Amino acid sequence: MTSEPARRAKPWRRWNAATHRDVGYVTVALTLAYAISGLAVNHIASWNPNYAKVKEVRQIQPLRQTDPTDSLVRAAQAQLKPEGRFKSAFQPDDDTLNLYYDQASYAVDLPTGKVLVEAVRPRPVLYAMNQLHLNAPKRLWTVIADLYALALIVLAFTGLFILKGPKGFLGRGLWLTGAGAAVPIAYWIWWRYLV
Amino acid sequence: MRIPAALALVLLLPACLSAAGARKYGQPLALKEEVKVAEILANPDAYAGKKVRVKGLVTEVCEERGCWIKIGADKKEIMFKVEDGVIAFPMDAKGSTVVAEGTVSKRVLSVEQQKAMCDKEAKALSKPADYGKINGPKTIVRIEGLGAEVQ
Repeated sequence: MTSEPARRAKPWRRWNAATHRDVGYVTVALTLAYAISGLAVNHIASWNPNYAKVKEVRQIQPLRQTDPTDSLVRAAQAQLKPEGRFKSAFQPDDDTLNLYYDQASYAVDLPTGKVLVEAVRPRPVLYAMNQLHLNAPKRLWTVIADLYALALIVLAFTGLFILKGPKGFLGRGLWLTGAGAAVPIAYWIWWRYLV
Repeated sequence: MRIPAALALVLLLPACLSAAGARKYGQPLALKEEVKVAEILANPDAYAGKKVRVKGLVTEVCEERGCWIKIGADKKEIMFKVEDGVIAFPMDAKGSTVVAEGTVSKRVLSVEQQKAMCDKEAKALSKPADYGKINGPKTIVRIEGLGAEVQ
């Protein structure tokens, strides 16, 4: 008896529900990835959603600014004994020597021997989500992201017509849809014209 | 046997791709002649508005969005700013050699403009404005980035 209404549903409504269900299944992973990344990136002013940074100050013997860069690099390496692969060195000015490794960078203040060590690591999973969300890969990912956006549009419209009757779109759905649309519209008017 | 082989291929693919030469960002490089960073900084008026190709080390990367890098060579550094979202440099580019192209821009900020920027920053970070570093008009020379290849 309880399945009678569903059995009587018009074919277009059954197709609509089936489309909403299956497109929902396909897009659930990407929706979660984009939503989590959205939360993370929204608060970019208070934290770095892509990288975890560790800073440390170390002390070595002061080095002579007059020495050639190659000698300074060898002397600093001998004292610091950094881990990882050495990439390069750079002197932004006469008093500073920067050493770049694949795991960290070292900024040596030559006259004082004070070293600022900075290690930066991508946040696992979140970094990947953010890169995909911001379309860093470009190329094929642009097509996938476009298809996902189209799928969201399909989900939005098919979602409106899943149910009929007082809980359907022409019942409470109209009020809730209107309330949902009013939030961005009202906020935009307030932010753009009234503040 | 087929499934482990396919799995191994999938796992090794990123490593193979990352090892395949320079990482390219934005538009392909088109200029043949390189200009030294020090030369641009010493003569900004001569280069302002002109498209240049520079080579150096990536000495800093924007941590939040990867939307700028600093390119260093011969004890001089210049900012290479790219459009947000169009190019995103990864943090592991730091210390790598980069060849980059873009248009040189020169901008002089008045004391009032610097103070206004300080106020804006202070408001965003909810802290008092600090005018301590402002001591007269400030000239900013940077490259508006179009494309880059990181080795």
